[in-house]
Amino acid sequence: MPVGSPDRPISPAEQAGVIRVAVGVETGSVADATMTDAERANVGSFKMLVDQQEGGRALEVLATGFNHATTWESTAERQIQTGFDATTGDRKARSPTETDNFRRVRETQDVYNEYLKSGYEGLIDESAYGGKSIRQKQDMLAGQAEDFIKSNAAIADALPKDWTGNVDRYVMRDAVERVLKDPVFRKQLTERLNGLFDPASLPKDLEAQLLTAENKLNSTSQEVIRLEGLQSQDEAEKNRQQARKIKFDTESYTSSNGIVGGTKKEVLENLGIDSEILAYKQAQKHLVEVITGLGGGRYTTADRTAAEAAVRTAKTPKVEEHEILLNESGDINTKFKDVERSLATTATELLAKRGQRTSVKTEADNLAHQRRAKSQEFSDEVTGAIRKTAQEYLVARARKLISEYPQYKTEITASLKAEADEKIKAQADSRWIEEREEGWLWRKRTVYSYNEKMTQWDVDNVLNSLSTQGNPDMFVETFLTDAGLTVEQIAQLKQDKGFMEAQRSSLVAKLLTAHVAAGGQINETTQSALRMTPWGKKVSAEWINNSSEAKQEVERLTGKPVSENSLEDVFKKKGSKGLVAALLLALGIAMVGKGIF
Amino acid sequence: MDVNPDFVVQKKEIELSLARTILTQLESKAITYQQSQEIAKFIVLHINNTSNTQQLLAFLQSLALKWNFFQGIYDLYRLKAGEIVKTHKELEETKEKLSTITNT
Repeated sequence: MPVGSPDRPISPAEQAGVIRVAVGVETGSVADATMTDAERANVGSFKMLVDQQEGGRALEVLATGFNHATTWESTAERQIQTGFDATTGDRKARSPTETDNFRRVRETQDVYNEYLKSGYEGLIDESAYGGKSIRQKQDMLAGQAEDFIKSNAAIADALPKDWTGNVDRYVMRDAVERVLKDPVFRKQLTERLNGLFDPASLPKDLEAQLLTAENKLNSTSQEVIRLEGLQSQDEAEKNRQQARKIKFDTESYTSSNGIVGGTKKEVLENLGIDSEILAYKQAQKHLVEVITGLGGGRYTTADRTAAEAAVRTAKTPKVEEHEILLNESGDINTKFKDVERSLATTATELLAKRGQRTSVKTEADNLAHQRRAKSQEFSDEVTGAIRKTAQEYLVARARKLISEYPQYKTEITASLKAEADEKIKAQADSRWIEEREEGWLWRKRTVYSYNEKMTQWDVDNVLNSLSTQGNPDMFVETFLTDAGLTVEQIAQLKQDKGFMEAQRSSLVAKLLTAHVAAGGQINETTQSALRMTPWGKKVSAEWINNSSEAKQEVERLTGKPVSENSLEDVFKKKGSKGLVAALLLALGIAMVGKGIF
Repeated sequence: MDVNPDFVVQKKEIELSLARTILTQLESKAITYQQSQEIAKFIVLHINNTSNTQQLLAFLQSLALKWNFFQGIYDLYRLKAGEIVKTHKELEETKEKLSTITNT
């Protein structure tokens, strides 16, 4: 009779037992030793409802802190009681949830009933499950419990007909564990469980482990065989080498000596030549002599017969093996030769490639060398071109100037040529070429158009030129010529001293200003040259220092007050570019304004 | 007031998520049993008063502020709620358009 049916109502004790087990079932997974049983029960109930997808109800249970026993008791009782029709005794249709709950109840109930019936005592032998985790033990126990249930006819009859036989391991695990704490039960269950121990319940991975180990063993065995095979091959190779050696030595010996003397025999034996093989060789040799008559002997047919027999006798198994090896060694020799040829070919190719690489490198070096040579050549060419062009231009200009100033022929020629040569020498580079103004033209440009190419030397030289007594207007004339004025026009302008001087001073001022602004310095040479100009002579420290106009101009340009001696100092000072430039500018302006010239 | 059936389903899912979260915290001993009761009481008290998405969102937000391990649920539902609101809005707009058409 199924427990819980009208004919077999659950007793209060059993119900209490079920509840007690169920409490353990439901709360077994909540690891909180500080919880009271009631709390633990509530949490268990809460969890159960969560598992049943009843989130709202779970929260209510937890919030109200329902006593689990009460809840469960009601549920269990209801489940048990409603599981059967009071009239027909047939099982009522239940919801999946109810079925699940009922199943849980029945499972735990059945185990407990069995316990009650069996009266198990004692403890489980832990050694049977030693080394396994709690989880594994639990799973094993659950599996055993499942089998236990299945094997028990009474319990089987009590199970619902729709029971699929899949014990909820969660339920059983904790139930069994809880029950196992009962010493009476444990002892009795031990025997049953041990008897039902199923190797299939071993950890699944053990099977995999065994398979792995077996495979490993197989592979290891194969590895051993492979190694042994290699060893065999190695041995075979050694034998072949030995055979080759024997062949060589024997042939060498037999070709030179027909008789094996004691000494030679010792030598041969020291070479490792086996005596059996040696005897066979000797027998062979004799047979050859008998057949061919070489060696000087006269042999009969009987001698030949005997010699042939001797060869056969001497051909021991070892000799046969040696012969095989010799044959093979012949092949090996051929193979070696092939390899050597191949190597030689490869070596030749390698050498060829190496040589090619060398030649390529050489070629690259040659190209680089050529390039360097060409660049030098190019450089020389350019320099030569510059020089040539400059000289040509120089000559042309010189001729023109000389035609205008025949009295200065010597100075013009010498000066222009010298300066052009100097400049060409110092400035023979591509930038100069890009300027397309060489020698004289470049020189000229610097007068009224300062550029970064101008050096201190240039500035000094300009000023020196300006100070030359013979042709102070030279630069101005050049400027005017480049401006497009004709010789006649320039001649007329030159009549206007004021104009010429103004132009000259303006040009000088601009030149020096730009020079200083670009980082150039007004050094002693510059100053000396400046002072040696017709108007420079009149420029003195006193004038500089006392010139109110100059001071005002400098102050205006620099925004700084100028002391009485500061202008002179500034003028001499190196590094105050802005101030010096301003001074020079002011100087130029002052000179013009004052009509110093 | 008729409650949107979709909202009812959503609410049940939320309840389950909240319960599971409490269980996880209990099992990991992040909270005590007393605290879990307190939390559950708070939830039961407030969640039953929600009847639409906005109210539920507000509740979840307050819950997350009190117990930050509920933040994930709040964020998730907020994300989903956006879609729900949009869907609902689209539905309303579609209805309006339909009514416009049918009434002309």
